[in-house]
Amino acid sequence: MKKRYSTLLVVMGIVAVLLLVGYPLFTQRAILQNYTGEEFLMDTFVSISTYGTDTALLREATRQAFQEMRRIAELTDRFATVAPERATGEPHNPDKANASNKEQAPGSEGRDRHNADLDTVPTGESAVARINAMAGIKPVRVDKDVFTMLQMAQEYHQLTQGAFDVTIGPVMDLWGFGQERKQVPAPEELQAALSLVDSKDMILDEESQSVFLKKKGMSLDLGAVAKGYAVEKAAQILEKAGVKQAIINAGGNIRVLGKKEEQPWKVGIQDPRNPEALIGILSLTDESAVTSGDYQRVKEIDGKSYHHIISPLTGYPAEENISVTVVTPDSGRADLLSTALFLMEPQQALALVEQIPDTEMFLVTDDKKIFYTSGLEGKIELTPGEEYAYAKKMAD
Amino acid sequence: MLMRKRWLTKADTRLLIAVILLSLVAYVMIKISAGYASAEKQAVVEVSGKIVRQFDVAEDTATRMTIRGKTRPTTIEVQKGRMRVLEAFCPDQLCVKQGWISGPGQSIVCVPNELVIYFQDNDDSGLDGITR
Amino acid sequence: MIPVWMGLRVKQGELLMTKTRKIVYYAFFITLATALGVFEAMLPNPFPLPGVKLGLANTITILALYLYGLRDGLAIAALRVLFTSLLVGTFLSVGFYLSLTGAVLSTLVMALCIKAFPVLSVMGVSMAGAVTHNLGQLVMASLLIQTPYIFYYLPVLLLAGIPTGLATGYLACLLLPHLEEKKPHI
Repeated sequence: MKKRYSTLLVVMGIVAVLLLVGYPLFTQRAILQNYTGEEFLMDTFVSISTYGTDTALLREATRQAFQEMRRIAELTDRFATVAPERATGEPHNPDKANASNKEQAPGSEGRDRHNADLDTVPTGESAVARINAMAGIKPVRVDKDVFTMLQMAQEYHQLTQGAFDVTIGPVMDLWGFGQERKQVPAPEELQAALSLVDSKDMILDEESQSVFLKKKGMSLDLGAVAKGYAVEKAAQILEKAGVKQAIINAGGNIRVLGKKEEQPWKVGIQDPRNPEALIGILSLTDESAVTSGDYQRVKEIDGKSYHHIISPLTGYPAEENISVTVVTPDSGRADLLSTALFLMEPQQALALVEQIPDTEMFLVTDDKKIFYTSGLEGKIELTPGEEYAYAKKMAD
Repeated sequence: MLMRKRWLTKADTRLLIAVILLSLVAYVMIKISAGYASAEKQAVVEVSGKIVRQFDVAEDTATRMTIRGKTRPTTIEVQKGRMRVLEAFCPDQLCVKQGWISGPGQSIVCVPNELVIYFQDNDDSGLDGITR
Repeated sequence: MIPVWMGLRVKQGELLMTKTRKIVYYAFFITLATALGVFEAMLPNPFPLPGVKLGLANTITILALYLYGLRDGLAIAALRVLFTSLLVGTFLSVGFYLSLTGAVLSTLVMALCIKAFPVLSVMGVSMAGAVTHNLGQLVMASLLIQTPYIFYYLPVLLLAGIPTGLATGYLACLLLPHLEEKKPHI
């Protein structure tokens, strides 16, 4: 009798202790966790920072996001060619490759089998490198993503009246960005290269999902759009995996998902003339901010600096602006537009942005005047140094 | 008064000194991590671990806000670069009695309301990223 | 009927009278500790910081530890917190969990000091207890309110543990010799 009573008491005691201790733990809201992954891709440091209550989910989503970014990086790297094939000179068999499994537009499978005029991208080579290699020869069927990027590029080539052009490859090669050339190109060389620059000579065929550069010597450079596009795909992957709060930072190309903790993400805009200072602070929710600046990649030749944003119209680095930041939900569009608008005159740029929905711009001209679109009201906190002056902001 | 040969033994005194040293070390570490106070401060209000308000505090910022704490609304006042809890519905009113805090390294906690107010550390000043 | 747990420390064959004495002392301690706790809760607090309090009831915990050892000391401390919170009306509130953590941790640490560091006098032990009490409360508070910013209070709370610990220790010193001779021997 005594024994039973004592065990009962002990059990009650344990239960009581468990209740008292467990109560606060069970009534806690789950603590927000953070999982951050970092990798070096596309010549930049990429960091994906996710927030949520399930760490395993965050980790898996981040892994998938990086996988996708790597895939896009491989597709668009114009210097990724297959060395052995070039050495032997033996072309790979497009017909055999055609028959293999590739993402294609629906309904075109039958047609391709008979279309021996279509080249495909061999494994190990990037789509862009292949397109460039086949310039003036034959169209190349490519991945859906590469095709989409080029369609976007084509669209904005028209909208910016030629100020933006992905066929600028030949000019970029002359300047040697991406390689080790150390000379200012001669005007005749630039003229010759410019004659190969024209997006109208880039033929995109939706049915076969192929790209054809009409003239031999033409080449594509997707540097202005690939990073943003990759970041956007990564963001989509995160979202699909269930991540609700995240921030992706690919060397200054920012894309955020959701809010940080009830508050929008705070992203600073770098002062183009002072790496330690900010010229403004943006409040972002579910959108992207990308900046093109003349301080990002600079070549010093004979005491003068030349930056990497080359105008397809003049062949020289653009002079009117020193920093353009675009804020819009799609990071691929943000990346592309930031370069495109940088290459335009400020007033033209403002006029163009006002036509594009959900897109805002913050521009700094060569003589340190700041223009920004009215949509940024309430989203931006301005913190420029003394030497900056405000010009007009465009009203909607 | 109790008559003792020695109030504290040698070991007691050592413990006392150790605690004082520990608190000094803690103070120094807190001040280091909080950074030097600069003209631009950012104040943060957290309820139950989540940031509900974040704003800049300059010398001329003067504002009052009412935050929903866990149990009751709490009023915070900001003035001349400092802030304090003006009104709180908690039994012991410790948060109100603490008065003003002026910079990183200081905080006011209202335990029943699970409310914390503090100044943001200066090393990152609350930025999540920089676009460049 | 006498609950068995009360008699846990009583060896078999002991007289019932000794058990009763033990029970009476237990009840006495718990009641006194609770009374002190409630009394302290009614005092106006000159120090506005959370966690800085006189800790008068801890005196009883120290006495229990010296007289009866860890198990009883722990029980008396925990029950004291429980009853005080019930009477003051803070049962199951955040403050209750803070007090409980602080009391349990400080009791454990004090028992450790008594056993492992006999060089420490009662004053030293109670100082260690007071500091641990504050530290435990701080840690628990940061977990429950989910903020690390509460650790800005750390230096102050550590320092505050010294005078409160000394005060409590002094009281215990006064009472201990008188109780030593009167406690029931087991």
